Amino acid sequence: MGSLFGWMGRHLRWTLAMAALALVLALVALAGWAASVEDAASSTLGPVQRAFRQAGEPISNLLNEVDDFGRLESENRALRSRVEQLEAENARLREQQIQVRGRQELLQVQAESDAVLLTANVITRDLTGLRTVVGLDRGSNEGVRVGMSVIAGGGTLVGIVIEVRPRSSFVRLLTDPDSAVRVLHQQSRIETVATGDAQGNLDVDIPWSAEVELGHIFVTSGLDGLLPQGLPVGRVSAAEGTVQDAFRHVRLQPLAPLDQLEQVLIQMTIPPPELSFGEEQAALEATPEEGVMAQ
Amino acid sequence: MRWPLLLAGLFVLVVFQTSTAPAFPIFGVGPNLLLVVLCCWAIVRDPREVLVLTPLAGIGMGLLAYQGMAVSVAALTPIGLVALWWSGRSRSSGRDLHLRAEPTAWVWEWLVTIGVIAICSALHFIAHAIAVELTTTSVNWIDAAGGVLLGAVLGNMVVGAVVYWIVRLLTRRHVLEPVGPAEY
Repeated sequence: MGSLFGWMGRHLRWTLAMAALALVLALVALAGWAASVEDAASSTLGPVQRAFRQAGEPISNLLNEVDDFGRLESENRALRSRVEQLEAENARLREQQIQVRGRQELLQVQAESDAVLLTANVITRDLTGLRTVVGLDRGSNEGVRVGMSVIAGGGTLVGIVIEVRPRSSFVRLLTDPDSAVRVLHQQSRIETVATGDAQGNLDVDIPWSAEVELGHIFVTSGLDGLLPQGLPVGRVSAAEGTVQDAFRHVRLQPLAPLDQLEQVLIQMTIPPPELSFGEEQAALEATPEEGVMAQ
Repeated sequence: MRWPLLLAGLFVLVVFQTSTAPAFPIFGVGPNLLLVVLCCWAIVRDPREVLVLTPLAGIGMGLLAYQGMAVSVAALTPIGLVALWWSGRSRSSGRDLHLRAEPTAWVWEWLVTIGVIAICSALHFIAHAIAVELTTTSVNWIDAAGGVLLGAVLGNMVVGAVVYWIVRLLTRRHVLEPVGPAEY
């Protein structure tokens, strides 16, 4: 122990200098000055980072293909994208159908949704593995605000904007330990909260009366006033618990490809959850499967 | 000419680490190539280089990776201390003479480097986990240790086992030169 202190004493100057530097940087961050510097750095070097990512992508893909015993990555990606689109479409149609059934008395011509969507590139990810946060190349200069929902290309929910800088913003993904999204079990219409955990899972606790089965879809309830209603969130991948438990613990597989995000859409406005007369009729007459086939 | 090259190399490493490294997971976690290279540098090269590069690397990571400059600097600080410890030890034991006389001594140095990488990876993780615990959410330490920490340590050790020889190859001349001054 004595030799340890002796060694540390000899190098005290270096240790103190690093501690002082860390302290100064922490104070700078607390004062709010670091954000603008980080923002400038990430927006300036964003293209360089993208170029690096794109340069490394072929090698990464090659390694993935080797790892998957020769399956073509591009085919895999295309299929995943297609499945995601179909599942999102299926979920949307099912959601429309259910909503229409509940509103048959209110059939009337409604204005089409006029949600404004802003495309954004993912420029960075949290590297510690403790959080699932991604950085986007859009910020307050483009009108991005904290609390806006972010969706994937297939229309599935990705996460919520938690921090905005002039030229960049940060999104907490659904699977982040701090994430909590109010969701609706599509079949039973029971509302609950989907939360992330440290392992990157998405979980809900739901009453036994919900009769949840594998493959069922959960969508945003919209009741929190922050997220639009009906955005597909996840598909049931596992359920556990006994009837003695008050709630059934259900694990969801996020529908959005959270680990492969490159481009996303930021929903700038929340459209009213209403349908036009024609859409409601079509949704009433078509089963979800027919809707998907028609697509 | 050495310092501009070192700074340019550091810049490339930081950009690579924040953009490309996550696409190459080993044991489920993207390896921290920056940390691995700095650890190898601390063992193989003149410690003065690491003492300058370490804080710069921390600031660079903080700027580009949304993890805070202060915690990034603090998380990399152990590498500088390792460089000081190893250079002091080498000076007292005449490591360079050994390396010249017995190439097998490189194997010993290689093993030490891998051990240093394991320790620095663990300390790096703990520093970030404490920062997350203090600033945002509580960390499930057991789960994080079993998943992220173990994967990060093992992945960095695997990468380090290769990177050491690259750094050693790039630094062949260095073993014929005296190590740095006694005090920093």
